[in-house]
Amino acid sequence: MLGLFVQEAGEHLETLENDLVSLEANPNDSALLNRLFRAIHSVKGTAGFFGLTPITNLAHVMESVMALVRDGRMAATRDLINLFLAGSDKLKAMVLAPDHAADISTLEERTALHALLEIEPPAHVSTEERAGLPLHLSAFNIDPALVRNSLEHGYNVYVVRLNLATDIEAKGQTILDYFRDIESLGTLIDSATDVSESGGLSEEVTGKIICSLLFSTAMEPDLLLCAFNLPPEQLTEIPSDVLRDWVKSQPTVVPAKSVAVTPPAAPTSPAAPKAPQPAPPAPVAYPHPEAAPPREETLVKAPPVASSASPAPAAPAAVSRAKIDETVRISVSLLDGLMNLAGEMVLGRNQLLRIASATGRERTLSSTGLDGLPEVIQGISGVTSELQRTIMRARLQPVGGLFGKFNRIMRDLGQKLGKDIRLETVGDDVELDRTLIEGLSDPLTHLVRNSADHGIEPAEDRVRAGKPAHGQVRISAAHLAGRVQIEVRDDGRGLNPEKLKAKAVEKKLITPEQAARLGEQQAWQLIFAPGFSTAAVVSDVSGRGVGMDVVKTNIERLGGRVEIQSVLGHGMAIIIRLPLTLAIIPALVIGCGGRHFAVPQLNLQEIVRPGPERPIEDFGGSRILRLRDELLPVLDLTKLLGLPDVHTAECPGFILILKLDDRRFGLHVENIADTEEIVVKPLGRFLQGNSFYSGATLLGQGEIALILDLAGIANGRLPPETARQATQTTAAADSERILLFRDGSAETYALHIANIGRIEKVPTDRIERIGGLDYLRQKGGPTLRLLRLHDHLPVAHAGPLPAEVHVIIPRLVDHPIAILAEQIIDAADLPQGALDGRSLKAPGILGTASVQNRLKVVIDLYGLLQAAGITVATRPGDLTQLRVLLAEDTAFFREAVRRGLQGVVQTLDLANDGEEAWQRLHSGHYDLLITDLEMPRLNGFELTARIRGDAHLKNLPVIALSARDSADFQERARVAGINHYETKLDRERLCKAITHLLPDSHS
Amino acid sequence: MQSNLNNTTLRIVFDGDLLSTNVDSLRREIIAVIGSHPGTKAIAADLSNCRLVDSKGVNLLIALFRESQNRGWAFSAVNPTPDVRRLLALLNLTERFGLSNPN
Repeated sequence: MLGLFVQEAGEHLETLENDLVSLEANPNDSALLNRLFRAIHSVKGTAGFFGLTPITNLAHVMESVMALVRDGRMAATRDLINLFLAGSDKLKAMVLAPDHAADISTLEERTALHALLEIEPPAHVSTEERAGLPLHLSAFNIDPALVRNSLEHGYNVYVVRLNLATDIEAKGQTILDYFRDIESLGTLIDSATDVSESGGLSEEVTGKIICSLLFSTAMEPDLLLCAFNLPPEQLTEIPSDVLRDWVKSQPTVVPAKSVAVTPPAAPTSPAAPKAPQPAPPAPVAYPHPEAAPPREETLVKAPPVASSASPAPAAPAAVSRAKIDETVRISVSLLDGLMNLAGEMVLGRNQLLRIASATGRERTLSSTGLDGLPEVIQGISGVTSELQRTIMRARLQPVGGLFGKFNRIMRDLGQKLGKDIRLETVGDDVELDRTLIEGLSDPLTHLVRNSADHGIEPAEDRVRAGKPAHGQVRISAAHLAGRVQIEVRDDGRGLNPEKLKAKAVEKKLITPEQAARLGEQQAWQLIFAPGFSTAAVVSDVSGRGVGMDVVKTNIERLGGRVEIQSVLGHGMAIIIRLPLTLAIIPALVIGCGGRHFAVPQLNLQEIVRPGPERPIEDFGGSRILRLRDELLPVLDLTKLLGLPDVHTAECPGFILILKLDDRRFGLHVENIADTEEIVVKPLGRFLQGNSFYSGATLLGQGEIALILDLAGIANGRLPPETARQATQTTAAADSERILLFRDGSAETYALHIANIGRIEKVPTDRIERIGGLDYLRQKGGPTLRLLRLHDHLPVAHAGPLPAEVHVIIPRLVDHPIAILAEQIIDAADLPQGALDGRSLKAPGILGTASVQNRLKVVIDLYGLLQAAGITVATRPGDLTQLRVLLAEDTAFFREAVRRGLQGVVQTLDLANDGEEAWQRLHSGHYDLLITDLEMPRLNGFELTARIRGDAHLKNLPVIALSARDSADFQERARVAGINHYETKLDRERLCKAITHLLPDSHS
Repeated sequence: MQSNLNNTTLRIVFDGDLLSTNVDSLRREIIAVIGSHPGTKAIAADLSNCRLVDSKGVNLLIALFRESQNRGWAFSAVNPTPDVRRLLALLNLTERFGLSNPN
């Protein structure tokens, strides 16, 4: 029963909080006020039923004040709403732990609320009325209403004797401050100062003044003495029966009904208003807690309240019953139990289907006497699926319940930060599995707080930027392609990529070189780096450098993805995409080491088979798969799980290409078994600490399979996000990732990884020297001509070869050639600007670069091939009259294209970015622009768009060079007006593209 | 401190705060002022310039009140600042000091 109370009161308090926040904007909404009153009233009533006095006491006084507001006798000011919200927080805390409710102090809230009820000055009480009081109370002029109220709430009443000089001033306090402090602990019913000590002006004036206080409080004597900083002899407790007898003899105060009340900022002293004050408000007689009416309805959610000024009208019985029929409260554990049973049924169905399928393959079912069984199984299968879907629906909850709490959070944040922030929620009725709703709470809270703290600018900045003074944060939910999309969007300052990069460099999360290479979107991703925070001042709202990485991790754990959108100066959005449920998911069942594992299909993008065409290469100890110009790290499941390695040339296994957020990687597995809808079961306690598995399931054949936790598997085993992006841009975009190797001399060479097709380790005895040239015999493949660098370049001579060597097979070269390397050292970044093309100039050498504190010779692959007498260039048509402008911000690529087109075209001018290219286009005549797409200042898309809008340049052919093989980029290029999109570093294709493009364009 | 006799009411206007540092000299001045105005039947202590009053300051007012009582005169404190009014209210002295009118 108590559990039911916790649940129901919790719901009332949720309503209360949201409605209080709404009340601030709609202070006269009578429906809202009635709902508020009823929520408090219900909590009080049920708490009273269970004898939870601390909850009843607070709810009682809140209800009384709310009645004043509802009746239009008190204004719903911001201070009052703050007070109610504070009270609501305390009620929540007590309701969550009703057994320990008494441990939670509500004195502050009750005192403040009481003060609102009791600002009526006590009626003058005649000496006769004071009759019956103990002698030591006769000095006080006591208001019976205050004493009655104290008794009703079970407060203690004390007489406190103070010497103002020694008990207050000698302890460093002023009298006013001291009284202010003690008034926060209870109610000062009256005070009396003894003036008889003074004989007049003829005597020396001392500071000694004895003042007695009549004080009502919930505090016990020991505690009160501590608070008052007094010795015990100065405190006397008045027995409650003495006071009760006296109160009984006093007439009841009749409440007045006319005066509007605005709550004061601080509790008002009851003693102070004794002096006549202008228009004092009336005291309020409010019902005794125990006299609360019974609960109105507990099984149905509160129906919308009709606009009415009458307090909490009871719903007609028939309507109430109808509501009960529509909605039944079910415990979550029962629902989980049903879901489990449905899961078991799905598993049973899967097994049945498998057996039926196996039996059907062996012989016809009719021959087994099971005629008609397939139809029955089909029927059971359909019903099972429907049952499972229905129960899943029952687990869905509207996301509005979660969104509702942000009203309060945003309100409090706005006040704390001094910003006017308006919160809008959209899609409150979108339903999500309860597990997801629970999991979303913390990440969304963090995002909302971030928006308020970092995103929304101070009002004056907003006005200066031409925005409304108030900020807007919008939380929305929507169904999108079988998933749920949740957005937290603000109209604040947006993300500043340069600022993010600077912060990341300052925090040593990335190097300045890496920062220089990061594009806008990559810079945004920095906010997810652990320990990253751009808050200049660490506040208690945000900026502690924790959070966004945790947000991302938590969302990924829920099977979701996080995306960022931002427009500098206009705001940003964090977009979360989630599956509808986590309970039953489609999965790929794979085999490894004789066991089966399930991989969520949500993360699976494709399956590839490694082989000679698509080898897994070893770069600096990392296993890499090159897939359509993208280098993907590959993790070997067999090795990770410590299973025996079974991958051979005959049985290469499969590589699952998986996507986690925007990270792609390969998972090398032994075999693919099946796809199946699996029921996610939690792991046993002994496996819960394992990061490889997120759950378990029972497969159709009855075997238990562990579900792989891909985030856990990838965690720490893939290059870090920023480093990965740098790696990705090696092949994909603009960074310069190089392979370091030695050829047997002391020299270390560097070759751009994008030039490399694959690397193989071969025994030296397969190398033969014929006619002064080295060749490698290959089983079933063409004989490779091997290039030794010292044969073709002015570099140190290498010594004899060891028993095994590496051969580096270039990509984008049709000839069967390879560079011979004695040792592969590492893969590294070539920092922007690190290439020195002047100190070592020779055909086949781009220059030198200091990498890892040593100078490396950077090889020009095409130059090397030419030096070796290998002609790979396609000299297409006659391009020798062409004047070409190249816009490229990366020195390496600039140099590579320049060398690639050297001698092919008449002129090749270089521009370091789009802006410079734009200037050059206006100062010279060009037949063709070759441009990179991602550049600082003006990118390739914008540059082309400008060209297409320029009367003189609009017909200029433009070729975009990018290694981003993404449909999005290609589409953007097409829209911008780019004529041809080509992969970087493919000289032959570039030449073909020019040949193909120019005749048409010229005409 | 300034003073003037209006009919039979001796108005004593304090120049500043009533604190333990100046109470003794003020007491002596008040005794002298009272002695120089023999027709006095009531004392009005004007507190309009008093921002701070400590326990000794309160006691000076109580002594003045008691002195008036002893002589059979009326006593009132007038024009208290808000803090001083609140202090006197907390000590339940407003009624005794005739603070029925805020001004």
